[in-house]
Amino acid sequence: MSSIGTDGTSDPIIEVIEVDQCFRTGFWLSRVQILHKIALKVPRKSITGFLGANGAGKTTLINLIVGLRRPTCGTVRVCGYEATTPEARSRLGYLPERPYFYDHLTGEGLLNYFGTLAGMRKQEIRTRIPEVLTQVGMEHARRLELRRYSKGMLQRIGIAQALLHDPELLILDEPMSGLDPTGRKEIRELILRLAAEGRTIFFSSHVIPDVEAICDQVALIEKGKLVNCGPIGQFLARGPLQTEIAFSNLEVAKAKEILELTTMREIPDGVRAVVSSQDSVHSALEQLIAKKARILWVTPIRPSLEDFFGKGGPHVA
Amino acid sequence: MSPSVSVRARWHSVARAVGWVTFLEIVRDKVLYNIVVFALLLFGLGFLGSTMTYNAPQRIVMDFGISSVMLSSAMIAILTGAGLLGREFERRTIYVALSRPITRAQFVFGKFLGLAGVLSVNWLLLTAVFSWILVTVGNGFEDLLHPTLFAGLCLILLQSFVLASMAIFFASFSTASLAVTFTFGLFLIGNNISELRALAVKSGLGGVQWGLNFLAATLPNFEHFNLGTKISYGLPVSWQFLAGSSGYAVLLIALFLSLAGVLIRAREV
Repeated sequence: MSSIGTDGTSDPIIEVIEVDQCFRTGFWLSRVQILHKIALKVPRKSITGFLGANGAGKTTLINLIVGLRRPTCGTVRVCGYEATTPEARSRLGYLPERPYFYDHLTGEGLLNYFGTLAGMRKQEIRTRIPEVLTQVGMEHARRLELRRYSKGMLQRIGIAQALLHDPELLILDEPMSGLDPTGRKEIRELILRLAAEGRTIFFSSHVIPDVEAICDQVALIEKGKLVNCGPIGQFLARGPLQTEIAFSNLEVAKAKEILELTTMREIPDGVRAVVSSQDSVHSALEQLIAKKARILWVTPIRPSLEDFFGKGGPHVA
Repeated sequence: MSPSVSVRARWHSVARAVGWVTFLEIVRDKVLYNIVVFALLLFGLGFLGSTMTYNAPQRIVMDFGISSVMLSSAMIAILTGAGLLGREFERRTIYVALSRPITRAQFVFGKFLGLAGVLSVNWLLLTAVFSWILVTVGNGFEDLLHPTLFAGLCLILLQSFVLASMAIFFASFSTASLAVTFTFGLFLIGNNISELRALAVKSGLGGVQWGLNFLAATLPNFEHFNLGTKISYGLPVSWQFLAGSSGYAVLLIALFLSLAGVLIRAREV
């Protein structure tokens, strides 16, 4: 069991306490446990990335947070309310994975529909629609049927409907899935803008660079168990810090005499080598200079989330 | 960022919003138009048949007309009603709706309202076409436009609402094809409750008799919505019968939708 945001988060916006989730599948309705004793605290006004491979249990946990299901065991609270209560659901906005909306509706029609379901008055909906459409950059597609929307436009209108009732918490399930690089960048920027407005954002992804780029909290789930979680800085500061040295005017065979240089790769204008320990960088550079090598660059290589992902990595208590 | 929304959305607003979206969804379904065309063809067939007989041509026109309205209403109610909820789960369109502060029962009621709207439009259209044909063709057919005909047509509309609620109920815990089978099966039996009772008397066996009478008493009785030969001969219908049938329809609809609301809560997303 592990949790995030336990330090300095006396009032978490999402609180998952010892949650188990089981499904009954197959002809004999045998019980399959999907989530195992999940404990998670998400601090207010944070961007939390929820990482996991396909089938790890991300969407199942999100369904519990959104109140679509009740956990088999344990409690899920949103803004202090049990997740399935109307009080909790009125405070969050949700974008499902692969948002299949009614494609016969226009963007405006869809927002009208979800605004009414959120309990908004007609006047409020009318005022908010242009605001949220501008926020997500979809003013031009207001009267276009959803069947004519591209994948990126559907994601944007999905975020718009999640924002319509001005919730303090946004739950986005794979918001960048299936988007091209430009689309991903635009959604990343949108998430950052929404966070800057003071919203808490919890989003799932299996694409590590997306999480690395914008999150300040990370949770890793593997086979239904929360294996790693905490502030992103805590992750990136861990692990061995390596250094890359690029040089020219020296053949690889001669460079191999320098023991500090581990992996070496020829590039068009020289050689790239890695020094695995920070203490050895000075000595490696001295030896290269002594051999009349021309130093092109020296770059520290920070460990990425990828280094933790799949290995489990160090656990946060 | 203080939510300006009320904690729980109002029943009538939710029902209206879900109903309108459902209505728009159904009217885009090509199956609906095939059924309407089928009903119009039956009208035509009735008139064609009436020209080929010397014996009571009005009766043929009336029977074909009433049957086409009844069949098309029942087909739309069963075929569309059985697929409404399943499609929401398959396409995941229900996910975002249920993440809002609404209950699943509200959602089910809204779906029913949307379908009831389509059934009403179809009924209005066919009734108008049928009446228009009777008036314009002449040859004494205009005499068929009597109050009993409209009472019968109103009961057909109520019957289609009941069938829609039944189809939604069965779809709340089974697949669309099973829901069609169950609803159609009950519709057939429900139209033959008198035969079921007669069979019970004929059987003479205590257990079988009790079982058949139990079924006749508990299964929905669609004979309450069928005026039969009273329409053909323009016989008067008492308002007590009409009020009783309407009350029975409301009761059945409330029962099936309530059960669907309860069952769909257990359905996993």
